[in-house]
Amino acid sequence: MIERVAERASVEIRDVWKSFAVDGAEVRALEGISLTVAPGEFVSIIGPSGCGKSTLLRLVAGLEVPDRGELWVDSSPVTGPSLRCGIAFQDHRLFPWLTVAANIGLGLLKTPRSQAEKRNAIQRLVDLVGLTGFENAYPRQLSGGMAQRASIARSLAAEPQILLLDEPLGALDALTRARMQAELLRIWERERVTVAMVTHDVTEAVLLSDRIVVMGRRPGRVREVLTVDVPRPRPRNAFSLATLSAQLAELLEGDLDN
Amino acid sequence: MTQNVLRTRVDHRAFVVPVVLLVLWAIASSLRLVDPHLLVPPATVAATLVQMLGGADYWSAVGSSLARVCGGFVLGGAAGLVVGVVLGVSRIAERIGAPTLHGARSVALFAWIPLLTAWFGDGEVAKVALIALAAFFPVALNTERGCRQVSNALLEVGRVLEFDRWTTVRRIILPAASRSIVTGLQLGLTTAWIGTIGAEYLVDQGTGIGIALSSARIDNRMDIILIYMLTLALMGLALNLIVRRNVVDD
Amino acid sequence: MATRFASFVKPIAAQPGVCSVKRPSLRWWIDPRTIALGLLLPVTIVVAWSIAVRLEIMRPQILPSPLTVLATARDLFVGGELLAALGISLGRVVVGLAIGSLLGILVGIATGRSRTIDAYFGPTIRGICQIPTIAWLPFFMIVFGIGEGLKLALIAKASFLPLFVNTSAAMRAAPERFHEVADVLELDRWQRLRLVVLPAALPLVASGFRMGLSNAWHVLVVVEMVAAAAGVGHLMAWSRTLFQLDAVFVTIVVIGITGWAMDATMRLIESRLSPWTANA
Repeated sequence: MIERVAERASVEIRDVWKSFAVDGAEVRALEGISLTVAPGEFVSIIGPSGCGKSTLLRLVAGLEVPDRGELWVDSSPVTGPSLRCGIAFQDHRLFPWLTVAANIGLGLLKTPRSQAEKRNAIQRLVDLVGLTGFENAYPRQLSGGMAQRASIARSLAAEPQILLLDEPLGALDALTRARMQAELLRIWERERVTVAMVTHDVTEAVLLSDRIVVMGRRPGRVREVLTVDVPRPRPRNAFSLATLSAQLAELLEGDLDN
Repeated sequence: MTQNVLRTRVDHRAFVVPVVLLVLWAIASSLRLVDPHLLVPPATVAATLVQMLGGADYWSAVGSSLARVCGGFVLGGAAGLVVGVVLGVSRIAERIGAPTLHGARSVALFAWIPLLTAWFGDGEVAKVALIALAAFFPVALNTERGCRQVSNALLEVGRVLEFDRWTTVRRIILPAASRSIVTGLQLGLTTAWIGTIGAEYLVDQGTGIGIALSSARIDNRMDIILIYMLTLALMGLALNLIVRRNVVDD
Repeated sequence: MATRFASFVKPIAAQPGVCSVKRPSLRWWIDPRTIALGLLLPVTIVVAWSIAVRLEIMRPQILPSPLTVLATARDLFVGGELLAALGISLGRVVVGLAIGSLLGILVGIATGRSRTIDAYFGPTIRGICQIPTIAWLPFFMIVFGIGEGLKLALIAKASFLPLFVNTSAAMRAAPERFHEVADVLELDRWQRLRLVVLPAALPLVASGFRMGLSNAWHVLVVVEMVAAAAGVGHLMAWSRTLFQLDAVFVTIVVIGITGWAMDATMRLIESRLSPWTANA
């Protein structure tokens, strides 16, 4: 079995500003965001819709360029999309004309490994996300949860330094979501990547993260950063988690009134 | 949607190629590179154009074609609507009629001409019959598909509200299928137009753009042919604007 | 070193838990009641036709009896005339289609991938394509005479348009979100072409080809009716001149069946080539 060789990286966001032009008017998506994520940390970014959390993730991934400020991954600046960030989108974006295995293998195209090694790596990932037996299935044959898992496997294929998840479980039903949350934790603990996950689900953030970044909107900025001091493994119905969830929910609700 | 069509900014780059071709054409014909009957100089074409626009023949040809396409389209379209609704609403009618309809459609449109001229002679009837046939198929097929694809959810509402057959058709099926029906009518008009030119060309009697083209070819008048081709191009563009869809196949 | 995915792309075997692929339902074929109903109308027509012939509603020259038509069909088929004509016609279609579709694809790729080229050449090409193919007949007749060149030119023109339009659109068929995935995966230009652009383009190009084939067949029939010494269209026109309407009927049916068969085959190929599209 191939062991992880990549170093998990830190993420530094320094005073980032980003605006978009919508219908001729300028929309300030992010204003003065500064944030640090330690290597190996699991950080959730939560906030009401329109607060710019997806934009922030895309900036870290290099898919957008900030108007002002800098983004650093593992002490080198972000200049564009690269394989050192694994990103899983909310719509799984698996290529419909490739099988699950082929899709995952896309992440390995750039690695100088032999065919056999790549096949093994793909199999390992397939097993990791629990899709054993579906290597040759096409995306249209998979359920939502399965497709999402394949998408996560693809993002892990290149052994990225950080894993960016943009509301990965948003499109799933409650039962599948609960199962996938446990899977995410398991994957994170196994792979020991740095994870930055955007979510709107309070319970999810509290269950999975080391720290939670609460964002506000109009303009998009960091309102608070909460530390989840609850030791792992965290039982779903722990009292401490419930209190924290309630706190978070209140914070978010307050913003909605504005 | 209308606003988009009207407010489209004209991209000036579009005119570069036509102008360049025009210039090359003028040069080539003045240098007598090609037989002047084949490559008529642009000046000659322009002169002929002015002449034609001033005369009666051109306008009567255009007018006749337009009249024919309207007549044929109305006939074929009406028939197509009726048949389409019947086949789309009644399962039995569909089982009986659809195979024949789809089969008849497979026959290339102009292949019907020899039969039509044998039955109806060389006159207007054969031409209009072909145009009606051209319009009939797209209208019938699209209408049938539209009616058949009305979602069961809506039909169930009708059943729950105890609609009788006719009310169901009038209140649920036709409105729900209206998009497909309109598409069918648009395609039918486009096909009818192509059928008109073809029928006129092949059944070479009377007046019309197709007939004028045929005469021009017999007289070896490339300039007249080019002018009518330009006319057709412009009319085609106008048709697209009316129909708001691009002609993809003949 | 590009990874070859051939080893991963295996045929979809039935796997536990995997939803089965939608196959075109063949059952309408086999259900006897459906076949009976479907044949009802044609049979009624034939019966009415026979009665009309018997009652001599139209002159026998212009309404031959169904039996005569059948006999003529047999004669033409057995005598080899029909197959020979069909062969010539199909040969013309193949060559004309090849020329037209190749040009259409090339121009489509150029205008599809480069907005600049599209801005310059697109409107002119589309404008020219507004002219119905039949209106090109006199033009090409003067240019090419009435030889093979005429037919091939017309067939090529007819098959050009759908391929041009579809290929042009197909170049931009891959949605932006797939290109973003390609960005993140750091795919180079060739990998992007092979793994994103071409697979996404395939369904549209295939359907464009199917339309091109259909156009080619339609146009061929007309050209052969007007300016040919051989082929099914010529056979039909010639029979009509000789007032042999039974032969005309036969040719109409043959033209229809051939057209349908080619279309059905193309649809099958299309669904095989791009099984992931909803139309499969």
